[in-house]
Amino acid sequence: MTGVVVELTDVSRWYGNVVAVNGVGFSIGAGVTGLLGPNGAGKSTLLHMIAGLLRPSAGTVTVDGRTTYGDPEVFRRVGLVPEREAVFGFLTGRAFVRLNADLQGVRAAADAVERALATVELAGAADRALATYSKGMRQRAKVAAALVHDPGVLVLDEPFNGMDPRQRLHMMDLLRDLARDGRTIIFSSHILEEVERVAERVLVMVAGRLAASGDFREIRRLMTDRPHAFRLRTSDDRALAAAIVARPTVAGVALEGDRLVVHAADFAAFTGDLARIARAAGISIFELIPADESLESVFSYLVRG
Amino acid sequence: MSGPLASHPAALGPLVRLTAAGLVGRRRSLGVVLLAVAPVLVAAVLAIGGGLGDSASLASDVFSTITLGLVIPLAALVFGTAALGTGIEDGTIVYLLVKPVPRRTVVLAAMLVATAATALLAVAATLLSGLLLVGLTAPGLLAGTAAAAFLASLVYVVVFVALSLFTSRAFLVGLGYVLLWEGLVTTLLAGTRILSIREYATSTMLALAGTAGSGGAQASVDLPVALALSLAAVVAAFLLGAWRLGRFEVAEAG
Repeated sequence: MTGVVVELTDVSRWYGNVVAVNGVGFSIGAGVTGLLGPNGAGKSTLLHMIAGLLRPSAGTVTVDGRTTYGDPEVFRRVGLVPEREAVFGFLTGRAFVRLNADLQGVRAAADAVERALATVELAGAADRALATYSKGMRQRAKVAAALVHDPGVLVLDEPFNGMDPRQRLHMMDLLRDLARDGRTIIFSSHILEEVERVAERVLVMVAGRLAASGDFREIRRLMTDRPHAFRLRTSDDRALAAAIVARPTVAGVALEGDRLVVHAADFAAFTGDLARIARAAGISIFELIPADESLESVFSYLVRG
Repeated sequence: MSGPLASHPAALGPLVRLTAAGLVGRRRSLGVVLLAVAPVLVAAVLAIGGGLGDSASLASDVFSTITLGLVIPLAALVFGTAALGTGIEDGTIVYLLVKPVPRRTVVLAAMLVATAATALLAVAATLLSGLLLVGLTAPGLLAGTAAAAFLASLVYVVVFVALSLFTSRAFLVGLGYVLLWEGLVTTLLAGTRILSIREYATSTMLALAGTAGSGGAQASVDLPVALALSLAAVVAAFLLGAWRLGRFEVAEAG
């Protein structure tokens, strides 16, 4: 594995009786890794442990072979972009990045600051107070602050939160560019599409556990191949129900008021089947809505599977 | 996090500048400045009114009741609880925590800046109001009140900065200490005065002012004891604060 390696071995973290992270293990190197999961899955806790801010309750977290918690040396190798939006609003962008450089003990700090500002394309606004920045600019300033000491690992907690589509694309390009330089980048998100577009590797976290990990296409397949529920409104629910229940692509059928609920066993084959059967029986389909497309249901399927 | 990393001295400067800029930029700070004007105004009114008896004991009363009794603890509360408390509240403290800087340096910078801000206002207000009432006739009183103002600023601030690391309600807890403990309990139960920052400052003032401002009053805590306890409070608060920030955990967001 190239780049700085981040390795977690059977890591758990609990707060009193609440288990935030439960027996998670993985190893990642250079490139972009997306940490996907619903809110409250333990993503922030995991990232904070990688950044050396939190002590794991059990297990070990290492960066470049060094245990992260309690080793200030790790802070030199990791850059953290926190989720909280608040920054020192009274500082200019340049002063904020400079502060981070000075606290990191960066040599030739002035040059490093200008480089970091140029990387995130903030040089033009660097003399304005952070309080006047838009959300996207503030997020970029936070990235510049995390990059100024040229760390091998960049940890970003929900970097796309609150960004508009244009800012989002810009941030995605930035992460890809940074990864091309050989950095190990890990970011969290609860939005599938964001992760799909930037990350080469995906870790799916649900309820503190690592539910799936690997190449994105694999995860995508897992997510689409699961049983799906659909809600239909047709010209004759009962007749359609009778016709499709015989098909092996259907796992179950239920009549709920004026809707027909179908549980498909095979998502791809079912959608093809449905159209053929309805046409053959002369039934019109007015409405076809996936009933369980929420991210949570996708995640909970992954946990069971 | 005092581990193997030697305190890198370059970090203190940026931290001090950051804390100072943070305090200057806050609206509450302006309120503290206005508050510090109060004893000066009162002194001016008394000086113009004149003839209200011994000017030295007047000056000493203005200092004890307004400057020491109100202005200094409130200023120390505002500056002391904001120096690190604001960053803890809004999460910006994280930027200081993910650096190879010993946590005690972060605490030290906050205590230095908040003490400087409080002491500057406190000593200025003390000297101005003192000069208005006694002029240069009682240098001992001026020196005593100024020293007391500085000591009180230091001890209050350091204690309140440490407090802000233990509770998000440091301002309320500190206010409770000032109003209920020092304002009420210690006035009723003389034995409790040994645990009062205000009494340490009063003791310092009386020791330096001599007979000028005392009106025959006796310090309830002997000077050596007052100074020793002040020093102990400062050291303990610093160590506790550094320890607490060393094992500080960012609030869990999920």
